[in-house]
This record gives sequence, structure tokens and C-alpha cells, in this order.
Amino acid sequence: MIWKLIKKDIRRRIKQPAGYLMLIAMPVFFALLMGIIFGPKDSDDTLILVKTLIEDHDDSFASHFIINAFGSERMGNMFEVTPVDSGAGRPMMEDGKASALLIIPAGFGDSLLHQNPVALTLVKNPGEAFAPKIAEETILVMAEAGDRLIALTEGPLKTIRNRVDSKTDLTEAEMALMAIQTYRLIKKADRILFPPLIKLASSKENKESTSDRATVFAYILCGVLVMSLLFSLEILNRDFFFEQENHTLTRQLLATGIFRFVTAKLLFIYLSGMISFAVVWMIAIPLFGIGVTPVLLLRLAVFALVLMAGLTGVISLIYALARNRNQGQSIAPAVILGFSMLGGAMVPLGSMPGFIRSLAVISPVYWGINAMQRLVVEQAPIGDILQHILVLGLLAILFLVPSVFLQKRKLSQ
Amino acid sequence: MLQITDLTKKYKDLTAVDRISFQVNQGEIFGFLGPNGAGKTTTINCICGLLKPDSGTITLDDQDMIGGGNRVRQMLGVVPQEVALYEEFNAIENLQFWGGLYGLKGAAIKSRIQKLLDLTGLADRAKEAVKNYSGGMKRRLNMAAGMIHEPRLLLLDEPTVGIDPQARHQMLDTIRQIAAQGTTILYTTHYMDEAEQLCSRLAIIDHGRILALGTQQEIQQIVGENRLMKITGTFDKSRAESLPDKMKNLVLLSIQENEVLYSLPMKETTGTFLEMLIKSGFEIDNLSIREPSLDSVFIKLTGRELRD
Repeated sequence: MIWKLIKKDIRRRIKQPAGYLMLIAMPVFFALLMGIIFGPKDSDDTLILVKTLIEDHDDSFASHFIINAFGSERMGNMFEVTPVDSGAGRPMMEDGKASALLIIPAGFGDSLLHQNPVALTLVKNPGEAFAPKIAEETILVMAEAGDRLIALTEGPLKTIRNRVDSKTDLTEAEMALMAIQTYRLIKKADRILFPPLIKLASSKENKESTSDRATVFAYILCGVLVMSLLFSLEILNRDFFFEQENHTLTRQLLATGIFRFVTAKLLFIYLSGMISFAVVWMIAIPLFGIGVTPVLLLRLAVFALVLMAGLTGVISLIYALARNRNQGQSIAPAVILGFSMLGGAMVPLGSMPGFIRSLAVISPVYWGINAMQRLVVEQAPIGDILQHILVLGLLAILFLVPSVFLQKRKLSQ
Repeated sequence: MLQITDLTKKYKDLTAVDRISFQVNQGEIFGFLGPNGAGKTTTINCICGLLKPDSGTITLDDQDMIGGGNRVRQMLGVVPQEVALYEEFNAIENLQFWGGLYGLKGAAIKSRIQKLLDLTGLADRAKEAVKNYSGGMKRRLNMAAGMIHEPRLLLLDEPTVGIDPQARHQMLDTIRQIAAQGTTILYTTHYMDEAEQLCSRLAIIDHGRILALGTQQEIQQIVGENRLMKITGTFDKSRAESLPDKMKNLVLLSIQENEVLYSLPMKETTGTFLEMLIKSGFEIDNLSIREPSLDSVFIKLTGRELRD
């Protein structure tokens, strides 16, 4: 008789499949979306090309130095520099043709030689958020480096400055002296500069074994899947109220008794959850290129049995406590979101404050996600998630038993 | 067949059913009449075992219905007030499901479904989704679903509520046919004319108590050969109350601010009565005369109309 009740609910879903398909499509869609947003990129490290205009009103060795610096190999990957005529920069900025405009004032090089304060002007495009900021930070670093360079080369600079002021040429002896001073300076800095004392070694994980993208998708999918399953179960639990509203409850209770009816409904909800779980993975595995073996599929199936029992228990208890559909529909999503947030379905647990991380264990979502990630991403054996299975199994008993009892009491009233 | 003795059901302070007793005999259509909230549905739910009474006994063919479990309950068929069907299923699918719950299968269920579809006149639309049915068709299928397992006792809880007169007429015909095939029916309604047409015996219930019980003739004896005279208008209350003193056999049944109800023997002439009203200073807006009927019985017993 229980099977007949379950079969009826399944047939009802098959007759109107749109809602059910939406429930299944939801986790795949969200995992795909999040994977695309947060997954690794195929292209190189370059994030953005900052279009920068330079108005050089000085035309000195110092202004040429800045323009050349932007054109260097490293900076050239990040900046696209266009020298413009005096006064032409601002109209181009207003037309949105660049992210920043650097104005080098007249007398810039002369001020540096005399170690007088001098200001560069940076005009940022207000319509952009990141690119002008990158330009600003880079120029600040260059100014800082320029300051240090001027301080280091004070001796040779003084000689040049005197000659420029007196408008006389350097003698051969003075040139030789400057060369020796500069050589000694470079020699002193040699230990720091060639090679630099601190090196940044950046590297990427090896792409040969598993696909990064598939791993990220699988990782995200676990979180999204558990949360979506909870929402699916929430929608399925509304069936208790549907039967009441559809007036089919009394007739069923009369034919079957309350206990059988409640058991059949919960089994239907559980089975539907299992089907959703299976279908999501069947779609996700080829879609995201997740590497699977028959052993992994078997492990997932075993884990799904316990996971769905735990999740069914949680939502069914909420609905057993709810006095009406509205109450259930208001409370259940709030609990789901709370558990999902706490369990790391929305934001990785590692990004959360310590006290929230320590609270995660009270969320069934945490146990579900963590175990699935271990199975799928780390290819862990079932023995590694025994604790998860035990916790979810315990939750299933703790929640399902009272929910059957409460539903029975509610329906008998 | 069905024997109810001293049945009582309370909801906190409200006594929905108060020590009612009646018996439904094999093969009869027994009418259970009363206004909304009288206790009819509570009684039906107690018979079904969906509600546990506070006291009293219910037996069906000498088997205890209270706590009798599924085996006893399967002897009952229930047609609730509301249409209890799955709209996305067609008639056959609905009947298959409900029959399946009572253990019917194979050729037995197929032939039973066909019989019921013929009986309810739905055979030609049996494969169409119920959501496309008219209200009357849904009601008839609803009744078929309650009878799919050939129950010994069929409980019909106001099955004609909210349907048009034509569909209602068809429905009553179907009920007569069911009864003619030997099914015992407990028919709950607040339409007196339906009870008059269908029921051999009946009980009138109000505020959880049975006010009258017996055959139609026996119940109509309560009002006897009296007509009910309802006057609406302006009048002096004390004069209205003293009117029976002036006219022999006139009985005051109820009096409200602008409405008074008298019972007057058929032999007395209406003209004399009217003349006396006018002499007593009645300014009559409306006078309605009701011939002896179940409706008038209810009014006599409760002082109000059944649908008040």
C-alpha cells in the first residue's frame, strides 16, 4: 500500500515535470555559473590592460625616462601608453578613450636635478574602478623609486647640475670622476640589485594529473548541490499540505491509516532527493569533465543514502512542526540558508571567522559537503568519511523519528 | 447495520456532538440533516475513525468502528464535501489509485471502474484529465472514487454543495441508482428537499443534538397539519406574544425584532389570521406561508431556517 502511495506521487510529478526538472537543473546551473566566475583562467596572468595617456610638457631626460619605463617589457604587459599633445589628453579622457592621463609638467627634469619638489598630475577616469587605481599605484611606486635613485646618485647629479647652471661643459677629469663615483655606487648596490636579495617565485599547480577547472566545479558543485537538495526537499515537503488543500488527505487516511500515509510521503521525498542527487551528478560529470571511476560512483551512492536521510529528516521535522503551509514555507528556507551559510555551501569555510568555522559542525550541510568534497575532489575512500556517515545517520534518526510522530499527531487532529 | 449510541465529541469547550444515538438499516438511504456547524461532519469523521469520540459507541454489522483499524474502515466508503481527486490524473487513473489503496487490482479493478464510469456517465471522457471536467462531472467522479471498493456503507457528506441544478439532479439520480443496487447510504445534507426526495428515514441535528428522528411521515407529524406563518414588518412585541390567546390553535414559535413565526392549523383560514394581525396593529412588509414539510419541522424545532 505504501508503494501505491509513492507511485501515485511519482506519477503526479511525471504528469507535471517542469517543477521537478527545475529542482534538478538548479544545482547544475549554479555550479556552472560559479565555476565560470571563480574557476581558473586559461589565459596568462594579465588581468587588465590600463590605457594611459601621457602629456609631456617637459621633454627632458627625466620625462623620457618615465615614458620609457612604461614601455618596458614588464610594464608593457599592463599598460598601453599613448603620448599625446599638450591639452589633447583631457578631451580623450572625457570620451572614455583611456583610464588615466599622466601630465608631466614643464621643468620636471630641472627640478629633479636641483632636488626641488615637483608634482606629476594624474587624471583618473571616474567611469572606471580598477584600471585608474592600478595606474595611480604604479606611478606612486615609480615616484618612490625615483626619489631613492636621486638620493643615491647625489654626487654625480651635483656635478651635472653645476655644469648646467654655469652652462659649461664637463671636463674629461670630471667625467672620469663621475664614472668612478657611479661605478662605486653600483658596486655597493650590486649585492642587492644583481641578483635582487628577495625574489618572488610564483608558480601554478601542475595541470597534468586532473583538470583544474573540473576540480573547481566539483568543489563548488558539492556545496551548491547540498543546498539545492535541501530546497528541493522543502518543496517536496509541501505535499503534506497539498493533500490537505486538495481534500485528498482524508480519503487516503481512511484507506491507509495515518502511519502508512506519513511513511509513504517521507519515502517519496527521500526517493525524489536520491533521484535529484543522481541526476545532478549524471549531468555534472560529463558537463564539467569531472574524472570518475566506478568505485567513486559506488562511494557516492553509498554516501547519498545517508546524506538524503539526514537532509530529509531536517526538512521534514520543520514541516511537521509547521502549523500550515505558510509557516513551513517561511521557516524552512531560513533554516536552509542558515545551515548552508554555516556549512560552507555559500562561502568556503576557510574564508569565515574562526568562531563560525567551529560552529560549522552543527550544520548537516557541513557534513554533506565535506564528505562529498573528500570523495570527489580528494578521491578519498569511504573509510575517510565514516565520521560524516555516522553524524548524518544520527541526524536522520534524530529528526525523522520525531517528524513521523509529529506528523501523525497533527494529521490525527 | 450502523448503530451509533450516545456519541459525544468535544473540541475544548465546544461540544460538537452531544450524546447522539441513531441506527441506519441495511439498504436504506438515511438522511442526516442539519445546518452548517450542526455536528454532521464531526459525526461522519467519528464513524470513519478519523476522529476519536470522547464517549459512545459506533458499530457496523456489530463490529466496533472505534479503534477497529483498517479492516473495519474498509467497509466504509466516504464521499467528502469537497472534490477529493487528483486533477492532473484522468478518471481511470484516479479510480485506479483509490481502488488500489483498497487492494483492488487486475481484472477486478478494471471491471469495477467500467461499472462506475457507466453509472456516473463519465465513460466517454474517462481518459481526459479531471482538471478539464465540469463541477458536476468532478462531483460524480468523486462519488465513484468513494464507492470503488464496493463499501457496505457509503457516507455522502453534502455531495451536492456548490453545483448547478442540472448537475444536482443528475447526482441525485446516481445516488438513487446506487441505493437500488443495495448499498446502504448515510446522506448528510442541509437541503431539506434532497432529504425529502431521497431518504426513507432521517435525523435532524442541530448544535450537536438530534432534534428529531424517524421516517419522513413520523417527523412531519411534529408539525402535524400546521402551516408556518412568518411575518416580517413592524409590530408591538407584547401584542404579538398575546396573539395566541386570541386565536385558538395558534402557536408562537419564535419572535425577533422585525420577525415573528406562528404555527397555524390547516383548517384555520388565512383571512381570519390576517384580519387579526391588522387589528393588532401589525404593519406587514411580508407574509410567508409554508406548507407542512421537513423545512417547517426544522423551523418548528429550532425557531430558525435550516440555512440560517
